[in-house]
Amino acid sequence: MSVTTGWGKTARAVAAAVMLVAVALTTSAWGADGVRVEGEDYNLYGSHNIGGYPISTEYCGSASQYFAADGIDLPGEWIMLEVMVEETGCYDVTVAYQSYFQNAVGLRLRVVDYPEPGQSVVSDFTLTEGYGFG
Amino acid sequence: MSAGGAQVCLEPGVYMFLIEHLSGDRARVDYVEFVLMDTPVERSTWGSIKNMYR
Repeated sequence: MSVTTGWGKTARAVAAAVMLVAVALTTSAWGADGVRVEGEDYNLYGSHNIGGYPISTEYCGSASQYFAADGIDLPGEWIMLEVMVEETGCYDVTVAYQSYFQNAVGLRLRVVDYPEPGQSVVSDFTLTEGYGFG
Repeated sequence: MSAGGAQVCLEPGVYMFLIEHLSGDRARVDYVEFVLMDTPVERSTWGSIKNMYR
């Protein structure tokens, strides 16, 4: 027979909460040859909204882990994310996104403080053939 | 979901990066994926790549 005290329940609840937080904070993970960073992780690092739609985390049924960063709609707006690189090399950076149907969106990837503090690497690209918001 | 992308060369480390809006209308970012390209980078070539960034 097992007896669960109030403290035991509390400890289990705390442990479960800690595990949930740990899972929530480790949404990026290395696969065999790359890493995926969830857009909604901008909540941990920051964003810059100028106007239009507010930048926010939105539920999206077709999104990885069901959430995405929405409202990036005006030039100059950005979301900040973090990536841990384990191997020297050149990486293909892919952004999975939604936009208005057949609407092209120009984005820029800017790696901050690389190769030296105060410098950054920028790479512009265009998202095309948007399928519309789901 | 659809996808678009760029290339970037990096050394091991933890980096902050921005996804900046340049043109067009509203975008919703699901995820950003960094996949190591197949072509190995020689040490001498790596020096050239870093110099291009400066």
